[in-house]
Amino acid sequence: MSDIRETFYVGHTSDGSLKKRPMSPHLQVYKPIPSMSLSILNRITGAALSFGSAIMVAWLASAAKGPKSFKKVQKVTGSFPGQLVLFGFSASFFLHFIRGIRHLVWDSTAKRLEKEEINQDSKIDMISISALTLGLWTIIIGKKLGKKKK
Amino acid sequence: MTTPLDHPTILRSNLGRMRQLGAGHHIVEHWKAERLTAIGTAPLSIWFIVQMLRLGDADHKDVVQWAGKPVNTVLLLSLMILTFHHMQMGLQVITSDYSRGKNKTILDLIIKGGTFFLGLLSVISILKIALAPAKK
Ligand code: HEM
Repeated sequence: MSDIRETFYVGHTSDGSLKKRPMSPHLQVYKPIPSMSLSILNRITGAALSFGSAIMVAWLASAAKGPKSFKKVQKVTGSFPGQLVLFGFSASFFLHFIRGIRHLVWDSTAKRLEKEEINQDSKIDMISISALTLGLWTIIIGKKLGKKKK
Repeated sequence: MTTPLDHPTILRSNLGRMRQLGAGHHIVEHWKAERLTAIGTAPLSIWFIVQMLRLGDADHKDVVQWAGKPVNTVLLLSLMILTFHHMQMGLQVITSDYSRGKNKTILDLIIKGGTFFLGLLSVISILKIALAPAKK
């Protein structure tokens, strides 16, 4: 036994002999459904946000350093690739945020945990994530266009 | 039919072996802190997004003035401290799932070092903006 988690794999056959129980099926076997995808995406966005938070720190640090550095950072974040990264950052944030709240609700109420309910709620979450992300960028782009007109 | 697996001959129950995996309460505390920091960052980050929208592409002077207002300074500091605490614990949950032993120790040190540096940098920056803003 090299891994202590293998203690979970010890089972018995009907004649009482010991047997190594099977592992769960490989991921590729399942057809992805919203709850599964959102579950792993919560982890992926958590990791992505960790890197993304460096953008916030760079923005703050440049503002602390002075107007010149601040302009430089603003130039990067305002460029097209910079805006794409910020779009990804905001989408990741809203996913992690909505699913984070879902986790908090699960943990504090222990309700809506049946398979059907989880799948229903996952769909609702996907809609709110898209709505929040698109809503935010509608405002941002709207503001930009408004400024250009002036 | 089924070949019996060689089973450890040590006389210890599975529960006894499992108990070695965690140090009593500290895993529960980690779990709780991850959730408490989440409850804190949730409203703060929405506040931050709204502020960013309001600031738009404001210039340095406006941003310094905004961050220098005491309430904003406190909210900014709270957001950054909670976020980096949440992030450090969250990343550690991920490394625990995919690595162990020496690799995990090294990864966790990198994570702790990285989050500590970024977190401290943000706190110092916010304090500097609020207390001794750069003019040039
Ligand atoms: C930029 C800010 C954030 C970063 C960098 C971040 C990072 C992370 C990371 C790395 C994890 C671990 C993921 C995993 O174990 O799979 C995590 C988990 C979690 N986050 Fe965040 N997070 C942020 C914001 C938030 C916010 C605003 C909320 C509140 C709604 C939140 C709620 C949660 C919850 C509840 C978990 C535990 C989920 C689980 O056990 O699977 N996070 N976060």
